[in-house]
Amino acid sequence: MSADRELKVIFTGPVGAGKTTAIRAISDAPPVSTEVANTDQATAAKQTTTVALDYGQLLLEDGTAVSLYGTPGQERFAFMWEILCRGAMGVILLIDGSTASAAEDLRAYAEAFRRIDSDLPFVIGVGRAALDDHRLDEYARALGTRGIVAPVFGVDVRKREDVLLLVETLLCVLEAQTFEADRAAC
Amino acid sequence: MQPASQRFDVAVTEVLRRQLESFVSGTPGVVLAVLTSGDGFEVAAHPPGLPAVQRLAAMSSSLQALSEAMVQEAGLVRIRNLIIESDSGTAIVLGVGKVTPRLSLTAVASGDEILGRLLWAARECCAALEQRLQVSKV
Amino acid sequence: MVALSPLAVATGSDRRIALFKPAALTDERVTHAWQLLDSILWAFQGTTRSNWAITNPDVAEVVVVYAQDHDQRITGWRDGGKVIVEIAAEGLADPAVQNRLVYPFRTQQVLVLLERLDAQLDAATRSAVSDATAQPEAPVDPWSFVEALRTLRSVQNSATWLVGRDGRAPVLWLRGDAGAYATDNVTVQAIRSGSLCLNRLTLQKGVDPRGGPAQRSGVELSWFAGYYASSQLAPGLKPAVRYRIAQWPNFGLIRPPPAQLRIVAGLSSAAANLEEILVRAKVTAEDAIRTLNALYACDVLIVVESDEKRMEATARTMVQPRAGFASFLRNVRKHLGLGA
Repeated sequence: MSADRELKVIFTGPVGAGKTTAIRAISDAPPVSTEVANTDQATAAKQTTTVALDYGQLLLEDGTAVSLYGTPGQERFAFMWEILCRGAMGVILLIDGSTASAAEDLRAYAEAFRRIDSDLPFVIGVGRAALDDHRLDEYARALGTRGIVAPVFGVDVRKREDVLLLVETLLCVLEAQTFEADRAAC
Repeated sequence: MQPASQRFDVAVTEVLRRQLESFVSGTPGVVLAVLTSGDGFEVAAHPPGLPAVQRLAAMSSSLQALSEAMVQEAGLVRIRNLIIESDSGTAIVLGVGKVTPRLSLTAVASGDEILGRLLWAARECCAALEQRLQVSKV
Repeated sequence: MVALSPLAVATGSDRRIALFKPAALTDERVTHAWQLLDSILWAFQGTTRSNWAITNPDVAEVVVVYAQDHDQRITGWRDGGKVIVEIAAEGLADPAVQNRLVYPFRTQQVLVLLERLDAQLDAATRSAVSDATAQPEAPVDPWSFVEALRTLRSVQNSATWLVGRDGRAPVLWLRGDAGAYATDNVTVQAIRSGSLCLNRLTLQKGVDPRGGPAQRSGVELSWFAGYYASSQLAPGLKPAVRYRIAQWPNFGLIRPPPAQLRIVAGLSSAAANLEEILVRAKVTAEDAIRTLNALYACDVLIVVESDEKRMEATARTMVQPRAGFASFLRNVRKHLGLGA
């Protein structure tokens, strides 16, 4: 493993789930975006859509850079998911809890990324979820039946502290996995 | 994914496809030409119906958008062409003039096509496409 | 005529009264009745035995309603032990309805009513106190509320609601499957800080609090009930047993501190007993015990049998930071302002 290769966290999810917003909330510099006019208003009522990636960065005290990549949401750009996930530390999957397809989106994205890398840790943030939203429990249980025990949290990615909760959780999962890997190696 | 015919005006896309056919048949070495929307949908292609076309359309828009971002980041002005050279051929991506919605032409040529001639022919094709689009609506 | 003795002013309590105006008022007299009552309460503040503060119905002891108002919340408040006063705009005062003001009413009638309500509430409090002191207080089982939640979750009756009372006063409403609860914001904060003794509540059949306080996820109630129940392991847990989690609780709602996140992340990665949790997550014994208790209360812990294979940690093809992973994590957390 090269010490000079990129450290990266991937933000993914369907169109409009808040990937660009989440990266912008924590990136040290304004993120680079590849947004273009959206001709597919029937599928996603947004003026623009990401067609390649969003790119943000954390520049740590010791000079280490952590790249934050946002993937395009549409399935036709699934090739970008594979490219961006190579060597990634983990995935933050964002879902819009107010859409009728939220449960199906969660299943589809979780399975797609599991196929790309079955050991890639991921954390799920569900936006626009009410305080008594029982569906979060259902989402977690549904993932559990597929052998996926992943955090499913109700968040608002417009708030930096909510994005930080997702990142901190990912870091804790990575820390636990590394501990187990080191323990197994001894 | 929806085929081009369901997303854009059928009559217009046929006119555009014929323009692409003219470009492909008139430019030795070119094996495929695809007209792509800015957000990665196939608008027209020649030869039509090839399985790789939809993915190429999506990839072209990604590359186009990334290239524009890179041009901006590098302090350069207005991207012209994106050229990908391989051992067995060349792929180029060019923007089609001032049209709305934004469109790109992707051309794939086999190894023996001279790059300069390919670029010239592709630019001529873009000019013709722009002219056709100005008299029609996509 | 009732004389207001100056001495009476100093010996009463702070009372909370709500004026619940009907949604659609067509009778002008009812509007005048409300304005009149509001004015009397304001003008005579400090002159009655107890102080009457106007609040919202959720926290009031007395709720004034229009006699012809059939809003369902009124039934809920009455069932919940609040005193209901009716304002009527016509007809003679019905002797069967004690707490009723018929417009137009005089100031003296309002003051007499307030004195009567005060005495009624005092009597209710004395009765609750004497019930409590009549026999020696039984030790409170620290796990009674958590076990009640776990039982409700297993029964899964989401069509019913229970009300949790502290004496006569309702404190919270709980759905029959423990999937949701409702209470005022002050009580929510008390639950989240551990300052409310949930084990003193008695759960009884209640009504759906629709239209009352906003409903919240039952996971929040379960987590904090379990976390603050005790500093000892829950009766259903053993220190030598290995546990892992079946699913994560919604930490978007719970917002745990870093230590609890590390514990739960560890248990999602590999099963562990209490000692292993302390080493892996680098937490105190109390943190570990209370977090395990919270997970127990949420019913997400799975026992891992001793002969079951530990979940294998895989050597992922992840890039390693130059200075090592531990150092990297410290730097990222510091950079983002996350706790240790």
